[in-house]
Amino acid sequence: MSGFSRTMKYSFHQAWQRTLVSLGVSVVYSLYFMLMDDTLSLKEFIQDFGTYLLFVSVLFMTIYGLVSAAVNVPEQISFGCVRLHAALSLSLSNIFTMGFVMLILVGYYAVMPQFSINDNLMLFLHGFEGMLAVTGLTAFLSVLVMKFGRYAYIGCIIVLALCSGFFAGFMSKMGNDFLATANLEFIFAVASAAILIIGNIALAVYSKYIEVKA
Amino acid sequence: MGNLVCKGIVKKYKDKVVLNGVDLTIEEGKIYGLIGRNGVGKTTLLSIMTAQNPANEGTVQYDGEQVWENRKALDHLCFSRELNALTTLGPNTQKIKEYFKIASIYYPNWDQAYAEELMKQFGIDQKKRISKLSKGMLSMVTITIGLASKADITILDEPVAGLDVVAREDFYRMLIEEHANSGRTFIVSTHIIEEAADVFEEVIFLKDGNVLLKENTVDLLDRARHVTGVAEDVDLVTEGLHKYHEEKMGRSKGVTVLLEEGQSLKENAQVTVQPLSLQNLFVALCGREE
Repeated sequence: MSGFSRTMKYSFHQAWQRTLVSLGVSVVYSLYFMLMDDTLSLKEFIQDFGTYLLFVSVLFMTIYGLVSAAVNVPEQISFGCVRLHAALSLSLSNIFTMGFVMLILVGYYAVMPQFSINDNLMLFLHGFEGMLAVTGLTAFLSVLVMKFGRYAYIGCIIVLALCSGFFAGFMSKMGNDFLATANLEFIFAVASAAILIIGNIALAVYSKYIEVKA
Repeated sequence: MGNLVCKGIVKKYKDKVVLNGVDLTIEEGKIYGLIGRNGVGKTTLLSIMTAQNPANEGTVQYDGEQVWENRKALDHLCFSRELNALTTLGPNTQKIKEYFKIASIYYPNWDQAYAEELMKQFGIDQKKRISKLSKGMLSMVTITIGLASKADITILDEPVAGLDVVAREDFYRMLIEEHANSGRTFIVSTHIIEEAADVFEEVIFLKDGNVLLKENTVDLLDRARHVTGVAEDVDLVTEGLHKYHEEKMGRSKGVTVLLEEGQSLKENAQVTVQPLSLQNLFVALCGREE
C-alpha cells in the first residue's frame, strides 16, 4: 500500500467515527427540540433534523480537526507516516466526514415522501461551502494549535465562537434571502475554496517542524 | 535490510544543546542497548533517527536513503515509544485493539496474529482502554507494537519500565526469540542495565550529547578492569592508562580502566584487579565526576 493510500485509510477510519458521533448528537439534539416544542409539526421536525445534522457535523469537524492537530498528526508520524501526509489527513478526514454527512442527508431526504432533494438544494450547497471553509480554517488553526498548544486551543475556540456569533447575528438581520443572490453565492464558494487551499498549504509547510512528544 | 547511519546530528532546544554532532551507525541484525543517564538525549536521538523529530543539523540515512519524509525508508523503521497513561489525549483515548488497527495501517509488515498472541501471553484484554492500563501493562503494549511491527529496525524506548522481574524475563526471551527467527535489528534503551547485559550484542553509551562508546558488549567487558589497593600501588599498576573513575578511601584507592589494544596492567601482587559488570562500568564512565 502506498503512503497516500495509508493516509486515506486512516482518514476514512477517523471520518466514519466522527460521522457516527455527529449523527448520534444530532438525533439527541433534534429529539430534545421536538419534545420541548409542542408546536413543531412532524414535517418541520423532519426538515430541521437535516439542518441540525449539518450544523452539528460542521461543529464537530472543527473541534475534531483542532484536537486532531495535536493528537492524530503526531500519532501518525510516530507510526512512521510522512509528515505531509499526516498533515493532509486532517483535511482528508474532514472531507470524508463531509461526504458521509452529505450521503446521509441525501438518503434521508430521498426516503422522506414530503420532500424532494431539490427543495433542499440550498441547504446542501451552503452546507458544502461551510464544510469546505471549516476544513480549511481548521487546517489553518491547527498550525496555531500545534505551535502554541493549549493556549491556542482557548484562543481558537474564542475566535470561532465570536465568528459564529457574528455570522448568526448577520444572518438573522439580513435574512436568508441575502445569501440567495448569485454574486454572494459565487463569493462564498470562492472564499471557501481559498480558505481550504491556504489552510492546507500553511499546515503542510508547518508540518516539518512538528515534534512527536511522549 | 540495511544499516541506519547518523551523521553529525545536532539538536538544540532553545539555547540548550542536547545532541552535539552525533555520528552513529546501526548495523543490521544486531541487538543494541542504548544507555545513558536521564536527560542525556536518548529519546531525542531515537526520535531523530526515525524522523519523528527534526534535527537542527546532520542527516540520518537508512540503506543509503534519507529517512526524513521518505516513506520507503520509514517503512523499515519502528520506534515504539513509552506510553503515558496520565495524558488524556492521543492513544489514551483508544482501546488497545483500535491502537493496533492504526499500527496495522502504517506498518507494512504488521503481524496481527503475533500481536494477539503477545497480548494473550501478557494476559491483557485488547478491549481495554489504554488510559485504564497500569504502567506495566503500558510497557507490554509498547513491546507488542515494537515486536509485531516486524520492522527491520525496531526501537524500543524504556520497554521494561514498570515491568516486574517475571515480565522482564519474558520480554528478553521474546526479544531473543524474535531476533533469532527474523534477524531484525533492535535498539533498546533502558536504565535496568545489569539483567539486559547478556541480551545486548552491542552497547552504546551516551554522554554529554554525544556517543561515548559503541562496542561489542563482551569485548568491552573483557577490557574493563577495576583496580583497588593502596593508592601508590594502584597508580603504579595503572601508570600510562586512562583512568575513568577514581574513588579514594583513606590510603586506598579504586580505579576503573579500559585497556586499549596492546595495553596491560603492570604486575603487582599488592593490588586487586577485578572485572566489571556492565552497570558498574556505566557508572564509572558516565557517573558523576568526583
